[in-house]
Amino acid sequence: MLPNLKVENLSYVRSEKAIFKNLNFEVLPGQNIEIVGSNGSGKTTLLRTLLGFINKAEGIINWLDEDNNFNEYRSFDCFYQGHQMGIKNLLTVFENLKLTHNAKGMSEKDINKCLERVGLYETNEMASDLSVGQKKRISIARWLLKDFKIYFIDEPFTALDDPASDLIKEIINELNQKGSSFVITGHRSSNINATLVEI
Amino acid sequence: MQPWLRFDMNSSVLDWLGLLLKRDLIIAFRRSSTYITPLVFFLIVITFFPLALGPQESLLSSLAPGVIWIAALLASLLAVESIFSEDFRDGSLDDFFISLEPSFVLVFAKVMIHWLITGLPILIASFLAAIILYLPLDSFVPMIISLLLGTSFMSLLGAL
Repeated sequence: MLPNLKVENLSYVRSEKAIFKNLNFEVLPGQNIEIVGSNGSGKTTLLRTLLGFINKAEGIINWLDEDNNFNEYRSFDCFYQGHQMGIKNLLTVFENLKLTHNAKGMSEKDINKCLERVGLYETNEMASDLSVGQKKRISIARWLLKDFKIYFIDEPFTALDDPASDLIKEIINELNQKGSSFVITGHRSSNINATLVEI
Repeated sequence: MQPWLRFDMNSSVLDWLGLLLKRDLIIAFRRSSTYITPLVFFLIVITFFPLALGPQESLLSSLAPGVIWIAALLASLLAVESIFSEDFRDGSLDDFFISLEPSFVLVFAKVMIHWLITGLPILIASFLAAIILYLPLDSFVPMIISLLLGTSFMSLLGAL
């Protein structure tokens, strides 16, 4: 089985200081990578480098294309959730899902199903009235809008209670069964089925 | 195939454009200050001129095109920095750039929305300004056309 993403000797340097160096890993379909490190160790920088938001210093980031060739350009849909979750406070819970490009062509019923899956039933509530944990649930509902090949999630377990953390693990597991992979970051291992990459 | 080679003006791009327009217009109308602040500023500047200079028709009508233009530019400037800043702060800009859709659609949509919520109300208010400042009828059409271009340009400038 070919990996959807192959990272070789990846390094990033900021102000002449190596944030991370010589990282090597592969993201295989249905398998996860968990990037673990302390505050400021470069976890977010690594995710953003992989997605091309930040230029790498050295190394190779290769994506698998439709013809099973590796190249530096991504040709499939990925999902990225950073610390800011892309939630619009002036939109309702429902609108926060409906008005994203990933929900294109989806029916109201399907969108509500995604929201119910993460325990959000008051879909007409404004996002500004929600807690950080509830906003995170909207963000998790977005994972379900489409089958992405790789989900890049920055600290998914932060600001969540135990039931919500269990829900994430459950959803990750479900999406893994469909062949999706997760690249997640955290301060410590979250006990999901993943290959650990320490930085 | 490289992403930019895959672009064609297909329905998905138009759908995306429509989605962005809808989302940002809903947000703008729920936060009325976005379009009311520049509009009120424009009208305040316009109404101050007859108050400051007196109601002489000949003086006001000769100053009118310049005054309307300056007031419109200053009012547009009030909202210029907000084109991408909110999407950047809340992380939704990342969401756009990670999708495989061409980024210029996002820029075009954001500029268009910015003009719709700041430039268009000013353009409409300039009808009232023209009456307040006794703008001659033959100068009205050229002024509206130049304002249309000027306010659009300000929105484009804000996207830099």
